[in-house]
Amino acid sequence: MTENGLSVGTPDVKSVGAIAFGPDDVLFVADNVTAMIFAVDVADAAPTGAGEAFDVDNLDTKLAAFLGCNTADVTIRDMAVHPRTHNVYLSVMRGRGSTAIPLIVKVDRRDASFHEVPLRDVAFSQVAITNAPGEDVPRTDTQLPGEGDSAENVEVLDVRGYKLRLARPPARTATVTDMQYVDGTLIVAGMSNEEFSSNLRRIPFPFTGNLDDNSLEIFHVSHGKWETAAPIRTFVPYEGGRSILASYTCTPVVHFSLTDLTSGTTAKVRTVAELGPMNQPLDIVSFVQGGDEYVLVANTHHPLIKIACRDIDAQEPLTEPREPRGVPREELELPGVHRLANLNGDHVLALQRDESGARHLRSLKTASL
Amino acid sequence: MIVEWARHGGEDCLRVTGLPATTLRALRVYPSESVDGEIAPIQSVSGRLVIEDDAVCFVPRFPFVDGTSYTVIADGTANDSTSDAPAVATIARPRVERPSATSVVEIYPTAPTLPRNQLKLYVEFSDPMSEGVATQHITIRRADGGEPLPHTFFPLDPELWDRDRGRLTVLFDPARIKRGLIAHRRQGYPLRVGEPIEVVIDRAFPDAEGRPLVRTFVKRYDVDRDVRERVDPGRWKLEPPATGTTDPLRVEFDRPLDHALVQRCLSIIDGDQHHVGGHAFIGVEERSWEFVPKAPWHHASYTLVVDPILEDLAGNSVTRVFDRDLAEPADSPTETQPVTIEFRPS
Repeated sequence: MTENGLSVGTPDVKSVGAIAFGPDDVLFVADNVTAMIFAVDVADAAPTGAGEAFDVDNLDTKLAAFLGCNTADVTIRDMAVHPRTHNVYLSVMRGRGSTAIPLIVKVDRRDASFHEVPLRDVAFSQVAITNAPGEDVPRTDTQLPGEGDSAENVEVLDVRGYKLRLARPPARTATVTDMQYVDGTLIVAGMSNEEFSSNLRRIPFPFTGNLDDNSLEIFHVSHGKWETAAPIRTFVPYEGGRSILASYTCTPVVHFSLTDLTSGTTAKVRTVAELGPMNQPLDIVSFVQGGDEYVLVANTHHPLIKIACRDIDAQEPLTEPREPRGVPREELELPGVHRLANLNGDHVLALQRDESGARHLRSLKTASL
Repeated sequence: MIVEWARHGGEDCLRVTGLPATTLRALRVYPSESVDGEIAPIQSVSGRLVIEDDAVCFVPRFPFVDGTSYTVIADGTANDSTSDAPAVATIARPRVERPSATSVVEIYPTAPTLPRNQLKLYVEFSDPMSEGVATQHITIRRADGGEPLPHTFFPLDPELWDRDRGRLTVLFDPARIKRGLIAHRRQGYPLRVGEPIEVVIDRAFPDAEGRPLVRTFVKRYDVDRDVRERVDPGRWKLEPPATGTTDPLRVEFDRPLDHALVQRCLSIIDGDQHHVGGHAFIGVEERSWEFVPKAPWHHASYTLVVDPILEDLAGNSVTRVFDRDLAEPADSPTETQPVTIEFRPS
């Protein structure tokens, strides 16, 4: 056992999704196939980073070349910056289907070189984020034919010469949409592939294996009239982790404080903005400009949105569906940004797609945002 | 320089001959796509070089991809010895075309009619599928005329698959269903009452082996009014089985329920709080559920236990209406405890 409760071994990573840095060299990696979160020691020995910008043109072409495939075979799932070395970490799926390979790739900020982060014989720990189907769930008649039925999941029952294939329901999967580490707690937002709910988990780190009472259903009120829940798509802690700004799949932006979440299994949160139709929030990051904290929200259709944290704190809950839609915001003309991370105090790192579809890493100077 | 596909130590490799011995280690391999354009010199394919007599083998860290073209560059030499330019050769990895074998088994709900505020569909495939391309291959259109209905499904990233990648959950855009949100006010419901739709899973959707589906799958639905009430097991009809038999307990719902959740949310316990072993059948259009015990029913009291996360087609659960009207007392949430219904075999 090493620091942070990690042990050396080989994590059974089947896919990579959201990633986030924890304490020291710990990178949290969400695996949406096995519904596990792995804490992996990335052992990044690079010198401490300073405030330089870091840009990589044609990131996807270069990454595909390193991985020996075409860009169409590379899916960048998430991006995180090592808090000390400022090297950039990408969760990447190489290929699709049965030949897909999950990878964590490090981009060295000193020379933009790519390095595969070892996932064999590394210090790691893991936590399951969903429960296996209970033995007491009755098997159900299934139409699924084929070899998959040889799995332990399927039992064949002979009823008067007619074979019934009985299966336990497929394990309900919990897909992690975003996760962030704050002071000894990994906060995980996710969605189920079955029930529609807003699920936020608080998982103490080092992992203890005990997931009791860490799941919280969050409700928000739409214009004072309707109360709903929805999966959280992306969120960011700010004010040193005391506050969280989160955006739902159905676009309302809500604020809550960590202390709101400390007890009970449900919470009601304050809706502070709506991002509008035909648009999904993709990522949020907080940064400091002139001593004040701001957040940047990347969207599918809208431009990058900048919001002052003091305006969030001052925003009354939205009760009327009329313009403006909540907290004041500024739109930045930086199209195609779909992932954001803090590079260093002076820059926010953006993964940006241009009109041709090519993707680039761009450092956005916080002083000029 | 001669480049050919070969094997080294059980792995595929690129075998290169015809190079001076001094330049063998200067070999670099790229996907041809990455050196076609005007991209500055980039890091080559990750892998290792193995010298074999007069040949060098490039063994990639990750397997070569079928159908992909690779460019081999040997610095310090040239095809034409009078030039300083590096030798360059291109070779394509053959693509193996295999016949389709995977098909869509079913789209749930199986009922012919959806409520206007339908929340999700499940697409069940016969075999595992490729992830990350669903939005390109699942579309929805008007049944009359075939006009596509854009912005109807929620563009999921990551996609919601079951663990085996055989069942995909497709969400209708919740922002258009939820009352009060801007998207709902401006664009309205994704579906309209009385306007039938078709959900199309196109044949090009690649399975996990990269093969297209056997055929395109089209499912037609009529659209009826919204459902905005909690799922109330109190309204279900139970037909108790006969004592001493293994006849099924039949439960008729008051409306079609979510196929996936019905499978996991219903169970039977006996008077000692023990789970009763058996198997279940989901009825036509997900309107009913039958439970056949392994051992005959006793003349005793049993309980049907309903997990309150159970939802109907519109995402209303046992505890909550999907978007609860705060001014409507009937919408008030109930306890999140399991609901129990007692029955006694006749």
